Amino acid sequence: MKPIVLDIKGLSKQFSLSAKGAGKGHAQVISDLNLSVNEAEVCTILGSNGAGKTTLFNLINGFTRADSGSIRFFDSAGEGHELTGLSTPHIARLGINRMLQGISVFGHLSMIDNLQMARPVLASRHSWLERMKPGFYRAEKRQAAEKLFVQAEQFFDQFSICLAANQHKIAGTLSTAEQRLLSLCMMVVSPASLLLLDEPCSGLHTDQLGMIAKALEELKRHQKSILLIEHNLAFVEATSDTCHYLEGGHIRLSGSGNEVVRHYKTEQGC
Amino acid sequence: MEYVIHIGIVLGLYMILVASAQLVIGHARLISLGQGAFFGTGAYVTALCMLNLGWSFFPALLTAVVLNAVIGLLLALPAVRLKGDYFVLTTLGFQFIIFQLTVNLDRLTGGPAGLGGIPSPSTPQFLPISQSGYLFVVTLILVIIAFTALFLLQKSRFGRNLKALCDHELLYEISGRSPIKLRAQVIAVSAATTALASAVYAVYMSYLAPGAFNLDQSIFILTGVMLGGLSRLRQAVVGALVIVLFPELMRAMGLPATYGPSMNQVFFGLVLLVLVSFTVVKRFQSNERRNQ
Ligand SMILES: Nc1ncnc2c1ncn2[C@@H]1O[C@H](COP(=O)(O)OP(=O)(O)OP(=O)(O)O)[C@@H](O)[C@H]1O
Ligand SMILES: [Mg+2]
Repeated sequence: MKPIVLDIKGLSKQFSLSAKGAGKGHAQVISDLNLSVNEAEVCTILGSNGAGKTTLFNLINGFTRADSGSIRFFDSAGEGHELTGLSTPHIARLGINRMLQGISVFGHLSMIDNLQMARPVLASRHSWLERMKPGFYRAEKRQAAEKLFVQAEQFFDQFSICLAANQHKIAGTLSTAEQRLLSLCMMVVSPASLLLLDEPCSGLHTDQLGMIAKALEELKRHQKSILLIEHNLAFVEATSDTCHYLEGGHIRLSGSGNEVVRHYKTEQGC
Repeated sequence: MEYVIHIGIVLGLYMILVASAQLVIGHARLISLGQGAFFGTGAYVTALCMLNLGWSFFPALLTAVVLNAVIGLLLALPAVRLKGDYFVLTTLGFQFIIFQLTVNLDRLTGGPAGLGGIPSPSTPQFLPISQSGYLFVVTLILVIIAFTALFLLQKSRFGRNLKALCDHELLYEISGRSPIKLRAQVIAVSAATTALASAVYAVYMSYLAPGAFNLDQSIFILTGVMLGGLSRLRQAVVGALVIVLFPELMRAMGLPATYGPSMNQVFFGLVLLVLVSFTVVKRFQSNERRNQ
């Protein structure tokens, strides 16, 4: 049994509809949801449009406040943290990174700047005496930049993209697939141990899905735990270690990718 | 010659003021209507240090820079949690508060009558130039300092973060950085560089009155930013050139003194209206839509 990195208990969230102009009342988007994610596994959330998958991610990384329930996160040192009530940057610094639905890069920044944004503010383990040495920060910065570059280069090499030649390209000018790879590379170089990936395959050609699957393998190899939202069932079957079906605000069914996808298909009538 | 030096000094001051405002308005996308107030706090601090404490110019200038940064952080405390219209309103409130303080703390600021007799820094013996010539040199040096500082800042990690924040605020938060902290830093830096202009203004005019630091001044600086451009430092230079030289040009063309100022206001009002509705709004909107 692998250790748990994320443990959600009794999570609930309702939105008031009046704000969206759809009359009075409330929509219970997440209700009494329980979910746990194991270390270095791909855990997929299946659900139809509007089931509340993105909302669940918003609750986990602090974009939205939960009405009730608890979200416990165990960082890479095994220490537990209660996430409800923390701000997004705080949650991110504990070790949770997220890829947003759609575009998830800084469009006006170069590739290399995007990758550097995925790194935290220098988390130095040096004593202040060492830091006082002249040139310390410059040396530290250079070392960090080199390490980052090597790591990112290795990643892009697998997709026959030469980082050295493209590092100064502005991310907004890249193709959708390249932007997706850049986002995934940001996940690789980030120190986060839990990654929330919201539809990494959307907008891509079926030929390109193998690439994303390969990137997920790479992330797992880096000991990252992944919570994945994906609509492409073949992709889900191929990549998930565990899978959960979200409906009516809570998990209706959990199991292996194949089991849950089979159930989902009969449910959706296809 | 004196006239050229006068224009040179005023131009230098507005280059600093516009470039500082550009950092907040252009780079952090925060419309600030409090730049005139920061100009005022810096000027009053310089004047008070010199008059009441008997300090010489440069220590007074340094104090103004540091205090302005602190005041900037104090304003940032409530303001940066808000965005868009609400941010504008807080800076407007700040502008009014500072104005009222300068008017009503008359023991300290001389009230509406103003604060006079601010000594000019003495020209070093070895420089064979006039008093105002020396102030021009000081202004020039401060312009270089301010622009170098702002340039290096924009090239640094701070500048990259700022670009990233404006690009995609949610993603910026996901990267573990706090937008609130960065915005507060931007306001503090902008207030500090503004103080460089304030200090020269105080000793150059040798007299301060609240009227110079009111909302009009803030809007004037804002116009300079909009006119020049939102992103590059050389655009701030262009903006300053236009707002300083246009009124002079009107005067040179022989417009009667009674019409001059109102003509300028009409011109700048129109320019602001056109720029804001056609170019600036688009840039700010495209940004907000993405951050929804
Ligand atoms: N901030 C909000 N205020 C009000 N309602 C919201 C808000 N965010 C989401 N909702 C509603 O919650 C429901 C779930 O939305 P969510 O985006 O989580 O769905 P999803 O499962 O990610 O769908 P998709 O597959 O289309 O991405 C939707 O009906 C949506 O309208
Ligand atoms: Mg979604």
